[in-house]
Amino acid sequence: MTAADLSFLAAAAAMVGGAALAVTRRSAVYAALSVVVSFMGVGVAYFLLAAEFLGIAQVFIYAGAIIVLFLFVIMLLDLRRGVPDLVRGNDRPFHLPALLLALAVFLLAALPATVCPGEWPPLAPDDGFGSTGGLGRAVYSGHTLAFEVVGLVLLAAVVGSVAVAGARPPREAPPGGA
Amino acid sequence: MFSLRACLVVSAALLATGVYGVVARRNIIIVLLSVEVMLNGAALAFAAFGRQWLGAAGHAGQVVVLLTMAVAAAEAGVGLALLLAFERHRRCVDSDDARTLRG
Repeated sequence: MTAADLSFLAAAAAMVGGAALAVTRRSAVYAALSVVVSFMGVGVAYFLLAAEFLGIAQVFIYAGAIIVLFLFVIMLLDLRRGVPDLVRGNDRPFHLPALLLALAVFLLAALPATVCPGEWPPLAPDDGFGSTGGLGRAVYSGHTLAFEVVGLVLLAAVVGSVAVAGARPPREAPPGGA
Repeated sequence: MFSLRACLVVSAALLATGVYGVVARRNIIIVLLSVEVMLNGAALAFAAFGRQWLGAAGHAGQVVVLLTMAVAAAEAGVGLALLLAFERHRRCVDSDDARTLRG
């Protein structure tokens, strides 16, 4: 068992364990923090897969920005009033069908693994595979259109978020007329 | 041990965990978190296939992961904005209260 094997085992435990904790916690804050553990594990896996830039981006974007966004929203939701509702999040009678569905999805998704090779091809030294430069050249030479479209998607998401969350409910007329 | 096979199994486990969260939970925040977990599982599979094939095809897999991250960020932003608007309207974050699509 090599060092990469051990690191991957630890990362896999963090990924699956963090995700399993996240979907079973009653408190949304604990769930968000458990997801951070899972995302950190995915970041470690990216490093092991020779995708250094993706590993850094995973930690910055997912474990950093996206989870902080979630935590901000949880704080905006006025927990004093929200706690009873948040606690209602666990729906016991529906656990067994959901577990069976998840098991079916796992078996279906893991099926291709049985015909996959069990060894990595050797990595050429100084290839630049997965480095910032290599990935940047791949994005800007072969996948420019996809990159531009994603920029457009992000812009639409920003405008849409502000339009949806920034809209105030119509204010009631003050007593006595305005 | 550490191989494409192992990566695909872990990626399938992440996907299944996310499916469980989306189906079993009613707290919309946790449902959105589960969607992020599923996206991570898919992205991990792309990166693993990229490591297997290397070269231009391998980089294409990594580009997909990068674009997935951007789309996931957009999805989280829009989803949480909708959640905020919903909570302002109904005063709760329970998906059971969002069944009728009516005020």
